Amino acid sequence: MTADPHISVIVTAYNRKKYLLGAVRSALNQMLPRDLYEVIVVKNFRDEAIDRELEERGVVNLYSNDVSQGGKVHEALEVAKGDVVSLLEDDDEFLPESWNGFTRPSG
Amino acid sequence: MERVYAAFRIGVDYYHNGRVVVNEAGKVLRKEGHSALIKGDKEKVRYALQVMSQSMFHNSSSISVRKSVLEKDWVKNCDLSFDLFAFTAALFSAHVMVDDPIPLTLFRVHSQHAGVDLSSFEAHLTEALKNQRRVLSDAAYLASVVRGTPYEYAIKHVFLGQKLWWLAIPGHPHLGDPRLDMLRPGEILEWISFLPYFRYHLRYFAMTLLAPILPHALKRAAAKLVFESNLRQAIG
Repeated sequence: MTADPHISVIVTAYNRKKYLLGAVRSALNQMLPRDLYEVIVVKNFRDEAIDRELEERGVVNLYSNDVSQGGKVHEALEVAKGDVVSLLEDDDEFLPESWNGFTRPSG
Repeated sequence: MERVYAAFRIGVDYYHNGRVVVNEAGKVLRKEGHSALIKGDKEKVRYALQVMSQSMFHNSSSISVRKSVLEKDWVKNCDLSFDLFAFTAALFSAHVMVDDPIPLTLFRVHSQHAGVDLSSFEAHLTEALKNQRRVLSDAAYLASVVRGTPYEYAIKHVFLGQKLWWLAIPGHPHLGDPRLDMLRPGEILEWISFLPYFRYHLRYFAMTLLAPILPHALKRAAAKLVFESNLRQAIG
């Protein structure tokens, strides 16, 4: 056993807005208690509706002009509080736990 | 994410989960995933070859990793292939690496890349050239980073594979770097030495050798066929 980890989910987006909120919501809707992970978005655009939702839901919202994936992730790592990093591209999503038959423990 | 959390709680350093591939309409196309638990340097050398030769490292969204693993200076220099860089960094500093076949993420096949609509063949080709050039340059850089380490051979596999794809794209420009523009006889022999890793995909392996030497018109026709098939799959 090691110390309890804290996860930083890093969502990267470049130009594409269409799927981003779906990716972020999929991370926020996980069963893992919210105090055990944070969500960080790194993107190269500003969008009123997207930025508002990110702020309302406590997502760290970084603006980056870096075209490279390594550069964007590095910028997120600078502010990430977690000792574990989960990467998520804007057009992908975390599956709900129910998809695999996992259920929230009762009690 | 609970499963990822549990894995890192018991000491995993690099975790790659299975994925469900869907198209734009949300239709499930297939499930992909592998199973492996790797501890120790000796096992990692064998595992690296298996993973690199079958592209099992693919898709950044399937990767969770200890932040400390990513703190190598050269990771910052990754242009596009972050999954490959994260996997390689883990080979050097992760003690326990896990490939979990359970799908925890959804991978979407669609006709947009970085905001560019790729539903026309010409747009797709332009983007493919741009991206493959970046992927090739990532692989070349990584090959130089791991030179002289036990992982040199595995990364060479990725580099040669990407170079063959680059040379197979119709209209690929010369990059002004002989390492990238030409396939040396020694490299062809080296690629053939990877044949055992393709024993279940012999047709594909033959294609990797044949495609770069096809005349331009044939390359274009083949690329168009692949594009149309992928587009049909993406839009369902």
